[in-house]
Amino acid sequence: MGSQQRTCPINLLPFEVLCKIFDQLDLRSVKSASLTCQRWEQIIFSNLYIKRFALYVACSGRSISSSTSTIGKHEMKHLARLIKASKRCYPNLTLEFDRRSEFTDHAFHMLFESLSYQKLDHLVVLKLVLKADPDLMVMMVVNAVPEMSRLASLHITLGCGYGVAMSQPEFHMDLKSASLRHLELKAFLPDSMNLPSLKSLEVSLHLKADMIYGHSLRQRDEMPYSLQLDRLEELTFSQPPSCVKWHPSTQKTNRPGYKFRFYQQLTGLKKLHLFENKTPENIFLAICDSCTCLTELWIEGLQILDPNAPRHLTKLPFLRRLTVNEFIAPSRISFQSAHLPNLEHLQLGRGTFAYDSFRVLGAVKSLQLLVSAKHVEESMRAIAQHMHNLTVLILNLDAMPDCDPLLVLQSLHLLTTVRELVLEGGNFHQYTYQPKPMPELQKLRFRDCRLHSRELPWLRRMFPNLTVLDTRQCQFI
Amino acid sequence: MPTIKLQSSDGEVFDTDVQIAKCSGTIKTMLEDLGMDEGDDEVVPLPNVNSAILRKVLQWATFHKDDPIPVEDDDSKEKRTDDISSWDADFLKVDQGTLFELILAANYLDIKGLLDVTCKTVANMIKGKTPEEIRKTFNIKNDFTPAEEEQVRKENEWCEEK
Repeated sequence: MGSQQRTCPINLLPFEVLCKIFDQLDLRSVKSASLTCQRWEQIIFSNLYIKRFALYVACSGRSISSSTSTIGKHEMKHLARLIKASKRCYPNLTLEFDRRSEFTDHAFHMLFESLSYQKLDHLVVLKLVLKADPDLMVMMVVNAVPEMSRLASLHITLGCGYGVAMSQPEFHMDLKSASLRHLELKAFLPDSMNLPSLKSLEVSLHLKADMIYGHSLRQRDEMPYSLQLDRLEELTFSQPPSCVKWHPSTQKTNRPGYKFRFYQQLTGLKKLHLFENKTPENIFLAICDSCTCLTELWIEGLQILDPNAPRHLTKLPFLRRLTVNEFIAPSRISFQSAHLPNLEHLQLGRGTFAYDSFRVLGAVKSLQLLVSAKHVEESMRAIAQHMHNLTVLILNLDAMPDCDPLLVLQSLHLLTTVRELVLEGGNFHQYTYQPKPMPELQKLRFRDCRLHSRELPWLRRMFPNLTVLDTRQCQFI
Repeated sequence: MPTIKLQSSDGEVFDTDVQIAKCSGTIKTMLEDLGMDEGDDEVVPLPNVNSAILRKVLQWATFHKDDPIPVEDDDSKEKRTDDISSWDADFLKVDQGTLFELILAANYLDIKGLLDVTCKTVANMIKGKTPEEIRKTFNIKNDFTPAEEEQVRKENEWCEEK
């Protein structure tokens, strides 16, 4: 090393400075750098610097491939040998296995065996995507998880776009980890979970039972809700888009007791996203009663009988962000007698509102609203009158396809606090009628709109002080 | 304007504007910890920096004394090495030995801006090159056996950015 340093001044630089230089390199260049000499290779793949990288193995039924090469079935053995001989301990591992074949099962087994205890123990993020029938592969991973003492994040996705029926495991699968903080499960449910450090959980399940891989399918409906997750801070429940059509026929008898109890335990939850089609009123109440630390709540569809149900949101004093994409209610939904002092971001989809109840929404700074033709003026007036802190307004015009957005434009001048306006959907003409100008507006963005002229002189007249006019996502006619 | 005295490893003393000297985190901490008052005649010794390099460092610091304080890197930091100002680029047209000594000095003195721009300059000398070209650029001896080199090359094929 001594003579090397005299003739090669760059190797005078200490470890941390060389890391700083490698930080500035793209992947290709840093790989080149690792091939120059032993010292650089050791630095780049040292336990300190290797965090930047992931060991990524993608394998289809016919061949395994990495980004740089596609190699045949026989090379699989070599890869397993290569990993076995390697000194590198990657903290990030991604395994992607494609179509079903004898080969993938075998390949997976070989590959997983090649990861020594020490290498597994260094894993922090493990991603497993099995588009083939999972068979024993998942089992192997689930069994190995308790040994991974640093594992913080685990992602398991099964099935092709998870719309595929799968054979079911014959073994009991118990997911255990003392270190795991984030878990994402797609089309897969273990039989039981023991995850005391879990902070964030994402579950995406098909409504059709045989498209979920899991032993206790009889309790499929109840399984995610039987988890003990009292320390959880973030929770997302969703269904893959393909299963929407299953919805009515697969809806089982409504026994919401277990769901109810599930939400009751989530007292530390800060973010809750329910991308399920319908959330019934009693679950909504359970959430409002128990999850009192919530700062963010997203409900895709909220079905309520009591039009004043939003008043229960008062029990969530820290709520900053609320989204309800569809209200299913017998009459106008009212926010009346709700107290929402911290609600700054509000997104409201389909639904008819008692607009005078918007007076409790004074703290809202950013509002996204689906505009209905019938209530344009009423809603704009209510916003202008009650939402004095509103600076960002996003108006979705999709619900009024046949209706001229002129109706919306005419009311905009009322909104004197709004600085940024986003218009989504709609068909804008070259207006001869002149809507009243809105001189306060600084930023205007159109998304998925049809605009009738590139020049848009009427826009300049109506919004004379724009600093940003964004029409990138528009169609011009 | 208050000044302090900085002494290089080879004994030369530089009378330096305090504000300029304080762009070095190391000197700033030293002054604060030692409770040195401006105008004191005490000398700050810098045993790791020779006079030629210290002169260059102070030249850089003087030019950049009014730069805004760099904000801490956020997560979305892009790998950009093409944003070196033309003054800096000219300033860093030096032989490799000097460049690396500047890096060592910037690292020791904790001058973030100088360390960033010098590291970027070196990164630009590596970017896009083959291993052999990199070795040639920096006069690095290939100490891999052919088998070891092949193992690294093969392992690299399975390595991706996180």
